[in-house]
Amino acid sequence: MITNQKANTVLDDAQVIEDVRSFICGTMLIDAPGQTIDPDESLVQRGVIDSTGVLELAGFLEQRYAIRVDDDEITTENMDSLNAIAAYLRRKFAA
Amino acid sequence: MCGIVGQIGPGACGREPLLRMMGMLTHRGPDEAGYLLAEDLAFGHLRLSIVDLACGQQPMSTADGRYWITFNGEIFNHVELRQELEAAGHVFRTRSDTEVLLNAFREWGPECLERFNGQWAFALWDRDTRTAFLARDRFGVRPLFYTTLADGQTILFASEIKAILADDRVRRHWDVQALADIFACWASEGDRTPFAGIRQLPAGSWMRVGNGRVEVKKWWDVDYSPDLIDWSRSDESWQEELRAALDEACRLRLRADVTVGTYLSGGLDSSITTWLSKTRHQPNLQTFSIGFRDAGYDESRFQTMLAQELHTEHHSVSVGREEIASSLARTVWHTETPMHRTAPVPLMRLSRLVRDTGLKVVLTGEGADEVFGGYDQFKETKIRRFWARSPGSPWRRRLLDRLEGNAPRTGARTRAFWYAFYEQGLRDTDRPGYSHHPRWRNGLSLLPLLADPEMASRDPREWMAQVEATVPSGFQQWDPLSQAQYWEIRQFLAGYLLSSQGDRVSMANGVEGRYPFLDVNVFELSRRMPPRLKMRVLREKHLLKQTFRDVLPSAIVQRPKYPYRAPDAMALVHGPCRQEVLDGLSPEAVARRGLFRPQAVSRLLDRVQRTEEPAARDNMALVLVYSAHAVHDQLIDGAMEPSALPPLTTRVDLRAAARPLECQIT
Repeated sequence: MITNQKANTVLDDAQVIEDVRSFICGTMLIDAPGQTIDPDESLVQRGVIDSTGVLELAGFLEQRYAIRVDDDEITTENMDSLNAIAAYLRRKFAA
Repeated sequence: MCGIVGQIGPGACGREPLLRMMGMLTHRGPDEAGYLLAEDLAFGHLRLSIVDLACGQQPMSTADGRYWITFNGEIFNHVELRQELEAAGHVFRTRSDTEVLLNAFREWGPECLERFNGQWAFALWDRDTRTAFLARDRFGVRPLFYTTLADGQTILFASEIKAILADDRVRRHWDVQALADIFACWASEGDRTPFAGIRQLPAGSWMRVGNGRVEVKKWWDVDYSPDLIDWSRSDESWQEELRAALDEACRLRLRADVTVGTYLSGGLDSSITTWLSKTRHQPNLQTFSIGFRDAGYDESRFQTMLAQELHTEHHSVSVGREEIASSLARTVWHTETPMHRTAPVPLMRLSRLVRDTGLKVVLTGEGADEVFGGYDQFKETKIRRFWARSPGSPWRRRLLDRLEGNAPRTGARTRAFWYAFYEQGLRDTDRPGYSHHPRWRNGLSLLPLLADPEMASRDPREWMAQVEATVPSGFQQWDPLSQAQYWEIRQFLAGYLLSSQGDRVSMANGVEGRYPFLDVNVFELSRRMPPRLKMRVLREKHLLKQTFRDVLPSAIVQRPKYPYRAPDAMALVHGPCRQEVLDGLSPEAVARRGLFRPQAVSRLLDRVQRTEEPAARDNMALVLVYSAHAVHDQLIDGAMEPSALPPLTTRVDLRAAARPLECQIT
């Protein structure tokens, strides 16, 4: 569990995954009944985010977790799945 | 060039319902009209008079009254064929290409099609055998749709679907499968149309109807077999042949008994056709261009440059967001399909300019990108194949940055995801549709917009595999560029470019487009060319540029390929018609049509409204949804209201008459 002092937020991976999933399902995904996203599923392959959509995702992470996402951090390693995003945030807060 | 309608079989209609069908297509043939009624048969014709203005009326018969035809299009080599037919003993009563077609069929049967250099859709009736023969040109320049009535034996056909829908016996509802096709590849696949039960005769096909049977056959298909390629010649000799072939293609297409103009887009292809027309064949040439008030789409500078250089009598018109948004529904009335882009709207405005100037025929540059290798799609395929040989290479994928037309405008920040998109299926290089997987995948990602639960959850891989199973035999042996060209010609060119950006929007104003780059001899030449002459490394249309670089301004030849686009979602959502568009996409409005999921459309609309420049996929999704609604409102729900016919100068009723004919031609 990590505490972000600035945002005074306590994060755990499950919560991050839920938050991001709900953001994606709520705003980015073309909503369809019964759709869900597995934590390891590639968001690109799923057709959820493309090169422009990822900016929305980065914007959401910046706002929600009060961080700054640097240009060179917008990579598939950091952002192509819910688990990857959770791991990225963990590293970001640990830094 | 014209509109044709008809009914064949025991349920064939009488005069009034036929005139009603014809009344739906008066825009295609505003000059005069005619009909033929016979035993189990009705043919109608709307004429745009271009060749033999005085005597070319239709439906027309052979002198013996056996064969009758209703014909839309042009046989450009009719003068040469006529000489051949006269030598074989045929006697002609007119100068028209229609009569050449009739006698060619009488002489050669269905094989006559292979001798035609042109663009056509026609229905021909043999009164002796009581069979009808319908056919379309190689690339599908001219449209032909048909349906079978509930009796299973009566066929209705027409140049446009709306004429078929005007028959009370035809039910109107969507084919959701066709919608999936349109999402994926911009056009319905095979013989499907957006309307259930209504088929199109595919490009390069004929259909025989009679004695209770319907037979459809593909008489021509794109074939890039490697054994056709001639590897022995020098670039110079190819250039010489290409220049001569295009010159002849323009010469044949300037043949008409009315004045012919040219479109000038500011790009290479229409510059070539305009240069050839003006300098070689028609010193007094009028040129026509479309401009945009949104500077990012406007090519006026290049259009004006070429018009001044060639001293043409130039006409241009500029359109803005308001006109695009307010004319989209009317354009869809003509295209009869949901569209990814608003680009057909300005082209319909352009054909009106031609018409207002008093012309009704133009030469235009479409087809060059498909035939001579102009699209970014082809470069993209080449890069992906190169990258697939070393998937871990970071610099190989960076070649994708060269595709300026596709590159994300957001720059370096999002490149990683752009690469990731193209990396999907990177190693599937053996798949027949490899070149088009990214495009198909992108379009199919919109399926969850659909209200139909089965279609919304359909696995895109299944659609792709089904389509890939339909390639011609020997396809796997073709060069990768040729394979990509095949898909472009079959799907984008035949299904979208020649239709929604071609026939439909020019004929909406009674203007005929002619395509020198789709001349049969030009295409045959391109098939023999080694692929490296089409794309050299990543330089598009290499040979074409080499051939004309000395005569065209270097600014035109050297300019990077600039795809013709018009403002899309932003014209709708950020233009002056904003409120009307938003009302039309409200959850209630979406639910009422029942095509899309209201919540999905609302989210899409939210995203598009949040930004001035929406994401590419959202952009096309919004235009698709909006245009699908326009199809629904006008062609599924709307009343079919025929317009007043032009003078009915040909009236033939053979129903009660044995030969000799009882016909009245006034």
